[in-house]
Amino acid sequence: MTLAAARVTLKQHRFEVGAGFLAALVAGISALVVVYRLNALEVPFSCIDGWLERADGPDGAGPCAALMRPWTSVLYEEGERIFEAMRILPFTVGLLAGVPIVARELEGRTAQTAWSLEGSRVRWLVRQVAPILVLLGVGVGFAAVAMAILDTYKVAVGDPGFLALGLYGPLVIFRAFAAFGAGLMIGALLGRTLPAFVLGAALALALALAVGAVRDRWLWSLPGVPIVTLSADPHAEPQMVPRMLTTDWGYLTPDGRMISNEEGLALVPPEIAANDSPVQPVASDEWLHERGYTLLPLGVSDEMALAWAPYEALIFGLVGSLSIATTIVVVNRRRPT
Amino acid sequence: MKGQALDSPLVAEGFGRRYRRTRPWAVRDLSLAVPAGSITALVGANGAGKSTMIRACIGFERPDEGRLLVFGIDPRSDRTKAVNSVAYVPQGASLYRSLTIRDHFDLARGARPSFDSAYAMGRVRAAGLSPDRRISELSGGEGAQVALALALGTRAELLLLDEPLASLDPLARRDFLNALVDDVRGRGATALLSSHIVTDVEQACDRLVVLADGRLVLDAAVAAARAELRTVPASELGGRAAIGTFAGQAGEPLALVRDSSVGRAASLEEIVLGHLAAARSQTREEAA
Repeated sequence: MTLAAARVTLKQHRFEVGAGFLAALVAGISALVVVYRLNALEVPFSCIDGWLERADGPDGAGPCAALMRPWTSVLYEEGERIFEAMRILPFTVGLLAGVPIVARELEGRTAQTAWSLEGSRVRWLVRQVAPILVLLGVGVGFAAVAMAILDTYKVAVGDPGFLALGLYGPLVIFRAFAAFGAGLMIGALLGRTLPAFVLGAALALALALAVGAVRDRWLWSLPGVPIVTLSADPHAEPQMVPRMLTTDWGYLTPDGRMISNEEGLALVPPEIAANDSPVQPVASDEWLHERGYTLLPLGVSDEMALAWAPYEALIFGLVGSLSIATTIVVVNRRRPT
Repeated sequence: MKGQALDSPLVAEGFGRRYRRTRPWAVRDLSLAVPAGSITALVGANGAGKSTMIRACIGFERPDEGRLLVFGIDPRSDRTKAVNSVAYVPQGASLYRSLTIRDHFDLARGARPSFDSAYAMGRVRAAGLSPDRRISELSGGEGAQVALALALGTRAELLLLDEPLASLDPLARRDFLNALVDDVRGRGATALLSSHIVTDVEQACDRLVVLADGRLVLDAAVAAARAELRTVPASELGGRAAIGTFAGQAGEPLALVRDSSVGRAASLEEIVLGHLAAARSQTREEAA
């Protein structure tokens, strides 16, 4: 592929590619600005480490509180906005770049010219896709790295990295790749840019929700452990272990065994359980509490939960690859109008 | 046909194409060979099957019957090779409106490394166009010149032009045809040029193929057809067999005959009209 041809390909799609690249760049730079501002506050790491779950943490009045207040404000107000934007950015960038590549050629009737100049449509597609993927890969990659740096601050303060999984690091690139492939395929199938954008956005949303649902099921299937440390003082509040994720609830029996929520509730006499509200078994909880059973949150460590990342990368990678493979078939068989 | 096929850049053997099973054939039972070095006019009414045939040559349509061979290559089995051996000017505006002329040549060079950018650039300059102009700024005639330069720059031995003159004014048509004839005659290439208006291509072509309702009704050298065919007023036919009868420019009934002793030499338009009229009569008889 000549550089001149790559330049023309990018010029053809300059609005979409430019907008996508710029959006990724803005997200990345914004993340780095937040990182810079957090560092500029010069809060010692001893204050930051596990801050959210510490006894002298957000509700405490220790020496760190005054330092941490502006620090967490920057992280959770400004930083969180960027994390929220990252929920849609990779999908938007991927769709913006992928949809018009074939759709616009068919819509503008230029496919006749393009496909009569290039005998191999696969080679034509590769020449179209490659420069766009490279450029957006750089843009989205930059945003992914910047977000990963920002996320280390959230993890340091005690947030599980799993909660923002997909909003930083390589998964951002995989999400953008899946949306790119899907957009490319839908554009080739419909041959119309705007309807392909709309359908692509709906499919990207459905895909994100479906993967989220599978992820939750996977997380809940992991064996949970108590995620609080109990004090010897029975009146003291249990202390949450930092960077743990709640997946279920269970009861600590008076003899120190852990039983599941269902096992605990099964001990409650039916006449007591009959008073439970459909939403929460308050009466049963009280009955068990009076008999020395303690309701505790169960969960998994962040490290365990993050083991999901390769599966999600695989799902989005497969969606992107299969969509591109389908596009090749469609482009090869399609009659240019 | 088989002997011709060896030398012909483009051969159709019983070619047929139907877009839907419930619809009539767009083209059927078409057999012809386009001789090397010729400029062949493919003439017929709208919907006669001209575009279908040309598009099938570059693999844009798949034959439902028979086959088409481009330099002996069937585009169905090796589309890449078939496409790379021809140049194509599609019907209507098929250029990138947001790109410049130069960008188009860069794209073409990326697609075909053998693309002669300097030659194409020379052609657009000769047409009075700057390579840095955007397509959106060009008139229809100028756009057609760019499309032609793009096709000629491939230096392909076979040019397929699908109604390239349809939207051009008379002056632009003349410029387009002059550029085409200069190039094709200059290097001994072959061109197949479709049009539904025969006077458009009269000055350029040396061979005439007429399609009607998807069937071949005439395939002849222009000089031979002109020498052989005569036009007579229908009232003076006597007992002679007419190929077809049609209305003259003043509405008078005319007949096309194969008899050098009567009437006057038929114009190319009259040759086409006579054959189209004959095809229409045959279709009506078949329907009846």
